[in-house]
Amino acid sequence: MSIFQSLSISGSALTANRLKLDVVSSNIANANTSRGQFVNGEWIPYRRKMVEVTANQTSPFTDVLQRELSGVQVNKIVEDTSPFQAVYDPSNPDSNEQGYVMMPNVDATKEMVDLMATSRAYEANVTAFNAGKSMLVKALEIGR
Amino acid sequence: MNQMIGIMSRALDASSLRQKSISNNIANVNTPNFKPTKVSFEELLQQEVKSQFIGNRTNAKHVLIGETDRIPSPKLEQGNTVFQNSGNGEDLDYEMTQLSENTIWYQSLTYGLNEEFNLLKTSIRAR
Repeated sequence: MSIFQSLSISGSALTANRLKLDVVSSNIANANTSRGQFVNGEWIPYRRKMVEVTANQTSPFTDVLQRELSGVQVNKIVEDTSPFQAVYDPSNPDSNEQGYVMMPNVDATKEMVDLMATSRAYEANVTAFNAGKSMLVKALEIGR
Repeated sequence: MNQMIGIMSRALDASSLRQKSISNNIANVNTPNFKPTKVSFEELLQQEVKSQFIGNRTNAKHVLIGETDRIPSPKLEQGNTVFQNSGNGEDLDYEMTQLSENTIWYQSLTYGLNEEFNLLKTSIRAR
């Protein structure tokens, strides 16, 4: 168990939250992208992406023995499988025979809520990082 | 005197471990099914002080009974509450207050430890 562990724990959370922010930005940027992927000769819209996080824990045995705490890690980025929105726009080059265009399954409200939750979590981790740092500086003063 | 320094350095251990536990909890504030950990030290120290069974000594050569200088080490405990919708058991406000409390506690401990060392210094230099 290292003396700088509390800083690296907060650091892992900062990394995870920054990645989450990147994914949210990507979702918002592509909210109207009707050509997301080229699959089997036709374009399908952009799919909303989500981040899956887990507590970065070692096995329960070492957990008990060494009191190991090691922050958070991003498992993978998963795609939202909910259906695309159909928008009526016959003049659009991507419209089908009925005049509908398939638009991404991105919900702006959901993305904004995710954005705020993530940036608040980021701030909380910065506070924890600063608290740990001030404790380490204080420890240097012992015996002065 | 020596006992005091021992207790305080163990309390610093507890505070440092508590800092790790709190930053781990804050790091996992949005992790589904995460259960926060907490550090117990004060209760263990209280128990050690209170439950001491001390043998009566009528002679300085008698063997010590019960009177030990054992200081408990801090322990990490896993909670099992559910607080958020995602199965996460964490209250962020509580963790943030604990964080600032722990920082101030750590600073007062280093202050106290420094004072102990200053007393020792004074007695060594005899001035």
